[in-house]
This record gives sequence, C-alpha cells and structure tokens, in this order.
Amino acid sequence: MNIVESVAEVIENQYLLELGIDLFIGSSPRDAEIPHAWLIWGGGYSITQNQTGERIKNHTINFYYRSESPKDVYDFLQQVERFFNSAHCLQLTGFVTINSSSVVFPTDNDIDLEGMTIGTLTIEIQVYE
Amino acid sequence: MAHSVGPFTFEWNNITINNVEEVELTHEIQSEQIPTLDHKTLEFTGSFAFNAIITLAMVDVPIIGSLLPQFFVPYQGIMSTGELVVDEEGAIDVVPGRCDDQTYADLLVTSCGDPGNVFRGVNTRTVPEAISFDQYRQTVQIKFIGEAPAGQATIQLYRDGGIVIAS
Repeated sequence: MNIVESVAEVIENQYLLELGIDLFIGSSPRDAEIPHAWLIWGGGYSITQNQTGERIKNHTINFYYRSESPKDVYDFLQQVERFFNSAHCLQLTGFVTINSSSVVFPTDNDIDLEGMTIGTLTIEIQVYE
Repeated sequence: MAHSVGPFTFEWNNITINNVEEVELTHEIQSEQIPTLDHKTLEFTGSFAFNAIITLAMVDVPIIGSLLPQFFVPYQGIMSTGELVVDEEGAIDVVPGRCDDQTYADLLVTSCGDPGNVFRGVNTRTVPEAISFDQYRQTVQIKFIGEAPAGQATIQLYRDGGIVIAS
C-alpha cells in the first residue's frame, strides 16, 4: 500500500467515503457522482537520516473536493483540515506515522466550467522508515 | 583501509541497536602541563577515559530493557514501587544505587561496506542519560561508559574480520 492509498483509507473511514465511488486516487472521473473527492501525490522529501540509516520522510498529498455547493466544499474541507491538524494519534496502514498536518489551508479552486466548486488543501504526512 | 561511511551498525552485548539518531563519542586523556625552569612546558599524559552517548529515535520498553538490563523488570516481576508487571514486554524501573547487576560488553560501531571498519569501545556499561519529548515523539539517550581492565585498550579500530582470538 502506498502512502496515498493509506491516506485514502483514513479519509474513507473518517468521512464515510468509498474509494472508487466518491473518493479517487490520481484523478477524478468525468462521470463520478457529485460530490466527490480525489487525492494526488504531491511529492516529498527526506527530512533527517539516522546514523543507522533510518529516515524521517515528509510526503505531500493534495486533496480535492468537488461539489455543486460552495458551502459544502468549504464545510467539508474545513473538517478535513481540522482533522489532520488535531491532536490525534494517527497511524497510517503500513507506515510508522510521526505527524500529520494540513499545511495549506482550503482554497476555492473554482476552475471547473460546469458550475461546480472545487476546493483543495494539502496534507503533509511525516513517516519513519 | 576503506573510508568509514554510514549507515553504521551499532552493537552491544550481542544486540543490534537500530534507530540511532545521534551518537556522541568522547575519548578523554587526562594530562598535566608542568613548566620547567628552562622555560619549557612539558605535558604529561595520564589516564584515558571513553564514553558514548547514543540517542535512540524510536524507543519502546524492550529496546530500552535490552540496553539497560540492570533496570529491566520482566513479566511477572515486581517494580520497586510494589506493582506486579503484567505486560509480557516488561517494564523499566530505574532504581538508583544498584551495582550488582551491571552488564559489561564492547560497544561496536561498524561502517558500511564489505568489510566495514569497526570502532570498538572496550568493556562498556550502560546508564540512562536522558529522556526527552517533543510534540512528535520521545527520544532516549543511553550512555555507554568504558571500563577497560588494566592493560587493555579503551578504544580500538580495525577492519571487520581483521582480528581473531589469539590461540
């Protein structure tokens, strides 16, 4: 399971979305039901390396949410931002998770020409490997 | 001899120590400087001392217990505060003044490579040095104090596999 799949699993469980139905990885299908969300891997980097070779790595995942209602987008993304910035003990499947945060707060990325509102935020996950 | 580069393998008492975030090695040589009547300064070398402080990034009770065996309370053991340990992983109970259960072993630091280069701190014992927390995790520092017997080295360097027991 890659890091994006692990984050998708958390979002599925937390917000009762379903991968392949209203949550997608990599792209958003044209015929997906409204509203829906998708995750895109935004890269990452190694923060520190131990003397014994283990590393703390920072992964960036971009989260998008599309809906007909701007309020729905704003409300949903604020929930997601609060969740990843809250004092929780989040452990992603397959990863020793040091920290998770939402560092780029929700923005209205209304580039959709079909009367939809798309909001995005950035999730950063620090893992130890 | 090839250059010593990381990642390094740390070993003590047949235990491989993983998650070493940082290590601070100190080898001190006591000396005394004496001025002479003919305006020179002579330096006399005295005792040698070695210690190493290792900071462990990911810690749990079994890891700390393996490096501080004198303070490890196994499953079904009794803590100094009277509680029974009911977790199979055991517990750590740092009671000052204990000196009977000290474990001595060489601290080995081997560099990457085949063969790697070995740094050996001879006959070290361990004490808990420090514990720290930040908003993300806990780290533990263990100090390895060298107590080489008379006539033996405090520290040694050699290529891995380069020395054998002399028959």
